[in-house]
Amino acid sequence: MSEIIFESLTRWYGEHPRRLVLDGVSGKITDGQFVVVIGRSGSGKSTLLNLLGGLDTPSQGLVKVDGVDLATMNDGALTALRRRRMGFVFQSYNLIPTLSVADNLRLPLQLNGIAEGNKVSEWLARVDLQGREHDWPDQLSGGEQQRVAIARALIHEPAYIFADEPTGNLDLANAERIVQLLDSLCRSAGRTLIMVTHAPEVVGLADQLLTIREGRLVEAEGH
Amino acid sequence: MRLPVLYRMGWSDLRRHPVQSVLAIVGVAIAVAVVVAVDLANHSAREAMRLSLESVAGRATHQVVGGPDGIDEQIYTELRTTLGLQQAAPVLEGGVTRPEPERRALTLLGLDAFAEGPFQRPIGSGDTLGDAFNALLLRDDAVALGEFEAARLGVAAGDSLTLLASGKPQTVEVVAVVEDPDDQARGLVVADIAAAQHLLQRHGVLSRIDLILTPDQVGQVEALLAENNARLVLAGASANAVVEMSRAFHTNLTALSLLAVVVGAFLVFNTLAFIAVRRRATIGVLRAMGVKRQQILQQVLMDALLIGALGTALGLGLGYLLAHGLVGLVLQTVGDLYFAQTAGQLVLSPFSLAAGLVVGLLGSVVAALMPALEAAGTPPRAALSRAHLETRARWLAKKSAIIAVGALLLAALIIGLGSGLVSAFFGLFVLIMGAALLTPLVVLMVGALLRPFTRGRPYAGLIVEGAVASLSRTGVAVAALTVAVAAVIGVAVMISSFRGSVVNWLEGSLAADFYLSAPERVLTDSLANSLGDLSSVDYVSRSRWVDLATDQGPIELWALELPAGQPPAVDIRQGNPDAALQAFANTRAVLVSEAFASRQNLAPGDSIQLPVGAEQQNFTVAGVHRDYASPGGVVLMRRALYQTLYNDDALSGIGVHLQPQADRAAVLATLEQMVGNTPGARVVDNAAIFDQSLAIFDRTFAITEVLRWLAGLVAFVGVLGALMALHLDRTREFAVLRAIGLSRGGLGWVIGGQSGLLGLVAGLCAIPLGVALAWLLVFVINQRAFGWTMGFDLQAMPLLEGVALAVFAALIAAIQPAFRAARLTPALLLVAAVGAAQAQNMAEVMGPDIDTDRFARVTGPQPLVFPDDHGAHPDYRTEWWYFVGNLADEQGREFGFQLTLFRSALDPEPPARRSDWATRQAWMGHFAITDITGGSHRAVERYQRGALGLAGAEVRPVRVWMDNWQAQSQTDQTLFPLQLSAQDEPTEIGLDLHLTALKPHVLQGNAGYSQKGEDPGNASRYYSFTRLSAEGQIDFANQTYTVTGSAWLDREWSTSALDSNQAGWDWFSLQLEDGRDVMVYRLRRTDGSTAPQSAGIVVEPDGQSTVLGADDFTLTPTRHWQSPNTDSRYPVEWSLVIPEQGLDLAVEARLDQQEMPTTIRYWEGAVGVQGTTHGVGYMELTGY
Repeated sequence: MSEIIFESLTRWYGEHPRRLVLDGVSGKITDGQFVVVIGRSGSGKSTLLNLLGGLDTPSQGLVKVDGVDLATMNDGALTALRRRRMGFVFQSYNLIPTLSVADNLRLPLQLNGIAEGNKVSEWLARVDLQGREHDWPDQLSGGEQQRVAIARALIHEPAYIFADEPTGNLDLANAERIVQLLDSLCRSAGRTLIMVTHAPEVVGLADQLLTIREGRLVEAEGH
Repeated sequence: MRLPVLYRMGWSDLRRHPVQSVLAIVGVAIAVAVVVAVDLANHSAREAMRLSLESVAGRATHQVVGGPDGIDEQIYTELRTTLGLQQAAPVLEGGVTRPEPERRALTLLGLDAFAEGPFQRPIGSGDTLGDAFNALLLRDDAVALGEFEAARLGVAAGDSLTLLASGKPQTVEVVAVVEDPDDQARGLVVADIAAAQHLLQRHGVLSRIDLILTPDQVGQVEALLAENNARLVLAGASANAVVEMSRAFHTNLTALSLLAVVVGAFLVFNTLAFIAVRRRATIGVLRAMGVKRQQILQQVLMDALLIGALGTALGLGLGYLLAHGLVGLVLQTVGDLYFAQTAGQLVLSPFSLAAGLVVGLLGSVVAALMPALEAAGTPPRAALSRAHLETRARWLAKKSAIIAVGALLLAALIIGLGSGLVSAFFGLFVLIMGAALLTPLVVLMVGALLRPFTRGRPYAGLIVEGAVASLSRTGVAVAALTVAVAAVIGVAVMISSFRGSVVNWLEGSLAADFYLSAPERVLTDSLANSLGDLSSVDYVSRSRWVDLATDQGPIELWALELPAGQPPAVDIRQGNPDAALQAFANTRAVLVSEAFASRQNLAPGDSIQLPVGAEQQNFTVAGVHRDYASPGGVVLMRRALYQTLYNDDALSGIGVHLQPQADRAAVLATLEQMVGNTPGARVVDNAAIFDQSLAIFDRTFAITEVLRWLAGLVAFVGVLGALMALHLDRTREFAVLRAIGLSRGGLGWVIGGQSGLLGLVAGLCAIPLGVALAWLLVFVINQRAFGWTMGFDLQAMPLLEGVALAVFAALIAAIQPAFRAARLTPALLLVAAVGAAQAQNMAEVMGPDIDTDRFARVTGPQPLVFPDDHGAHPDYRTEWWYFVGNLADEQGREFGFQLTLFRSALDPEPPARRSDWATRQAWMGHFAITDITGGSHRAVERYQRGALGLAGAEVRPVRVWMDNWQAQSQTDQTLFPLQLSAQDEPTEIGLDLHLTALKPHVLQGNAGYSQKGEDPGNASRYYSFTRLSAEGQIDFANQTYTVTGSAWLDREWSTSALDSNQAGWDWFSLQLEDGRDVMVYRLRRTDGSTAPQSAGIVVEPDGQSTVLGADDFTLTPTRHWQSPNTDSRYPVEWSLVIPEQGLDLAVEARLDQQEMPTTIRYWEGAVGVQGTTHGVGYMELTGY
């Protein structure tokens, strides 16, 4: 069962003064959903995503992934969870600059002990980057880098994909392409996709919309 | 299978950042190189000093003296032969006068050139005398002069000179005028000791014996002297000053070595930490992807090990090369002060290598792991955030500042409460760590301080913020630079303090313009009065030096008389100077030196007991003065008080202080004329001594100075690497600046400004740390090591140099990145791939080219008569007793040994001279042991005169000896059984073997006539004992081994052996398992061909022998080895075929490095034999 439940999620930074970023957010994300998190800059969207993905720890509240409270997991377990069940796509791509495109894709496979087979070339084909295996990340355009990042996030077939403004650095055409790619790749495999975005056009694709304003969830809307 | 991607990331990262990677490796390499080089040089210097005798200066440490009649010369022989002391030199001094044309008092100094080596007297040693050596040694009327004294006397080499000696005129010939740039031989006439005994009519006696002793040897010498009418005293003050300085040199080298380790460790830390910081974002991504912390650490560790290993390997090699240069320099310094014949090689110390490895590898790993641990332990989101990193760096800067304060307090506590050198060095280390931890906060504070001035100045703002904002990267770089520059400053201040103090002290102790001394007690108050009455003389000081015997050892007492109102020129360090000098002048108070006060735990106001006649009397210590001369300390007393107490009016010296405008040269001439009637009185120009002392000091510290600049170079390269890497890493940021409108020049200013600011901060931080280091070196380390203090000479120059070094390095580091950033267009930049003498024969060695026709020659066979022929044949020019053998202990540890005693006649006529020192025979000894199992070879060479029982050969029983090396037969009639013994302390080798002949002697060649050249007179008398059983002990490197084995004796004498067209020989003595012994030699001509006189012998198990001619055997070299010390290429493996004997043998060196580091280099060593039969042997290769 793939499911993320979050209750009263609160995150602040610093102590004197405390800077409250996320304030008592609760919700539930079920298997295969496409969840879109929207809100203004600084509203706490990325923080919510990081907390759900176990990249950050809440100041208060809990996150349950597949029924397990992340707070009860030690670093090893959390790491394993991220490695096996999750994939991340960042706004700034965050490819490993010193690894070739193919090696960037190989990395999650090897980390999870999955046989490589033709997966690297298959996934490059899916993101329309055939023949770019040996390129370095900085030889690719932003859109191309993001497509590699998507392939890297999906290649080991995780249950959850977290995408933090994956189109933020891209032009409209590229942005559309990325969103469609993510949507189709996730839906076709029944993966849960949680995407933080500014792009209003994405909202129409969402199964669930989480709108964050000043750290609070203003409406939770399910399709 | 390919390595998993995760583990290829590091390598890939290094490849993608080639410049940074090379910088990192070079950074580690340089740090390791310096650590290794400094330590190797230091270690080699110590080794050199140890070999030339531990902690000893260019002069004697002790002297054997007797009453006014001198001491019995036999004491010298006992010191050399019984105790085996090598650094002992006999001296006979006496006053002589040159009556005409102008009366001049001179000191006749009789020396033994064979013993002078270690003592470095102006014109004593053989090598400065050249061809005159033989004349001096063989004649009673031969003398040498220094060049200036010769000029004063108006004589040149070859002139005769009439001297009034022992009451009658004697004519001597000046056979040598020796270079003497500092006029150290003023007033001296130097002669061989035999000639001096003759001229002074003092046969059988010496004035004294100069010794260089280790603490262990002192007791032995005292025990020996107890039976004679002589005693051991510490040598003169000036010599001891040099000894102390040399110890200081040691300690300071050690301090510098430790500093190099700390600086090196910081640079490595900086380099690796930088890479780890750069990878922090990647670590964040990996963590987000679910890579385990442990995997990340593994990866970082592997990378660090890779860089560390590459850098360390490079650094070890570089360090070795660097050390070669440094060792040359160190040895030059050592050679200035010491005699170190066996030294000169780089000594590979395990500690040096270990220090290099620790700094390089461990330093790399720790440096890389710390930031990696931090990054891996941070939530992935935060690790991806640069802001988080910098925030954390600031937080850490503040935290570490708190730790720094703690460390500084701890350092103060350790230094304050500890009393030994170890605690001082540990304190030094903690101090450096504390200061380094403080620097990041200083960077922040400088940023805060400058920020108000940057408002409205965008460039200034970029410079300041850029430097401060990247604290995670700049903090460590600034700390590393600070430590390196502080080391440079600290050592500079220490050296200048040291020098300043020495200058001060010399000015005080050499306050007089001229100093009169005399070998006997001939100086009187009336002479002093008349000197004082001279118009150009301001006043005279009168000194009396005595040793007071006490239960705790002798106390050196200096009684000084100065005119009323003239205080002694001493630097009072403890006690009120004015009050102390007042008390000294008017009461029973004395002044004591720092070393004395430290040793006796005295402070001003305390009282000390001194023996006065039979009773002990108390004296108040008025003050403690600075004195670097006597290690045991000195007590300074008013002479009037001394005269009253001790009833002694004698004077040891008179200091002459001139009027300011006096003509020094004229006064000197007058003074010399006035003392013309005082035999042996010498006038010493203190200005010359002053210059000479400073020259010694400067030479001593030359190495320290070089090391200081080396530390500077390391700092320079280190910061260059760190800042360059930093700038390269920020290329993108610079591109943004260009994109938003910063001009190329503007960007250059920003990069240069940031770099320069960081350099300046480091330079400024280095000043207090450097001064603190200097303070610690001056006041704590040197004080604890030697008991005396130095002044603290803080001058602006070294500080400014340090700051300039830091800023300069920082600016240089900015050039390439600035150029690079400015050259590329912003758009390109933003997407840029950032990654993209030898042929001499033994006969030549053995003596200068003298007329061989006057010697007896070997021209044909002649019956040998034993045991007489086992003894010396003094009518032949050259002769040797050559013992070699292969031995093993019970555990199978194998050794080879060679002990050869060479006799060389300098003249065919026996001397008709009375002195026991007179001789025509010079002896040379070579002693070597090869630790075959341990792969090590040690050898030593000695010289001695064949007189006075120091070296010689006797029969019934046979005894051949040089000092404590000897071969002694156990019966009167036969050579064997024979006890062979030799010891050499500096090289730590020795043997004591009982040898028995297993076969009778064999006569080589034609019944012992061994023709070596075409001329029948070019031949030697030659016989051998080819198989001796040996049992006894071998000493090697402080270990004693009980051994057995077989040995070989060759006896050979000749006057002229080789033809002029012969280059050398390859000689083999082989003992085969089947009981046969083989000797063959190949004489090589200069054109490389084999001379027909090459020959050999095969000795059957029953002693029957077959002589081999040149055609009876073939010798073919099969492998060569090139000596790293001389570049000579020796054939160390041979094929030897003797068809008639059915022998086809491979002869191989047991160890390649068995080259003899002797005056004439040759290869002599143990060999193994394989082939038709097996065996062992020895091989001698000359002329390569």
